[in-house]
Amino acid sequence: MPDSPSHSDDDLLRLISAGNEKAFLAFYRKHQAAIFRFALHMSGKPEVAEEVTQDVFVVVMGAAKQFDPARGTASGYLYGIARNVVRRCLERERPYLAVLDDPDNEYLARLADDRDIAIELAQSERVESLRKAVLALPPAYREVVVLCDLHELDYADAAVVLGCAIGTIRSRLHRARALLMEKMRAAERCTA
Amino acid sequence: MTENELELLDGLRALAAVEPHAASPAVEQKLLATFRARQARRKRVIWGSAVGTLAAAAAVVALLVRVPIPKQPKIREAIVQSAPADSAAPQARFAVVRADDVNYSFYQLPDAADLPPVETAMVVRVEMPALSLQQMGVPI
Repeated sequence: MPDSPSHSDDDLLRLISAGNEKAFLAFYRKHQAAIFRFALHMSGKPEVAEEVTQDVFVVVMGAAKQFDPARGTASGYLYGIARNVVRRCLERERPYLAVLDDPDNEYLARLADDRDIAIELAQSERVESLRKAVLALPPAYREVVVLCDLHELDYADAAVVLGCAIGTIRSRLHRARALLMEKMRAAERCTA
Repeated sequence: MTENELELLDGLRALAAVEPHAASPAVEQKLLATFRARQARRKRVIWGSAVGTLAAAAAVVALLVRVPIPKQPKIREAIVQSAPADSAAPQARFAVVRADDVNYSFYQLPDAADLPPVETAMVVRVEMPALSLQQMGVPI
């Protein structure tokens, strides 16, 4: 059965290219959460994240045959597709900073209104401002933070996904963290 | 790693934990519908090309069956119009040449000796009535 754990991603992608629906479903269920969260962290909008997730797996339907395990993992392959789709969406959508300032943004409102989460997280305000700070990072820095810090990819995998050298990942991450700390300090000064 | 960086990483981990973790089931349903539609289209294309190939093959076979294969020219019976040899008034006469009458021997062309030597040549097969050849001076 394609949804059994014995099937590797390579096997599933081969089965998908042969038209196996169960393999596609198994592959989707295995990877959709990571892709959805990546898109959400990059865009800040759940509807964009869902659209990106859908588009990524539509690409997989048509291009599963092109996956080459020698060039990286299936996760890296999916993140690579997701990255391109997210960028296209962000270019099409209005600038993300406007989204952050939008008081009608459903996602922000839901987070702000979710009392349970606020109670559970003592630092919810800080998390919220951190989320805003991540979204305000330039895309090249944001994707490194999302991949390495939020999704805990190692530098080598992130380098494959972003198509750059490991050294570039390190330097971008260093710079991105510095920017985030700067933004957080600025936010604290504003609230104080 | 500095204390600030550690604090930042803790904050990022908390952020990763608090965000929604998966796409809604509606995405899965849409993708399944898209997958099925693609498979159906793919099957149609495969069947269409198979039917097309079969139709083309059938057309070729039909053509081969109908078109007569050119046979070795064989004069079984031919009606040739012979020019009147000794009559002043031209009148068409018909002679029947039977297959037995055909002579496949080679004859030297008259006056061929005067022609320049041939280095390269193309052999052309021509069927002519014996009478015409006789009129040209071929000794048959």
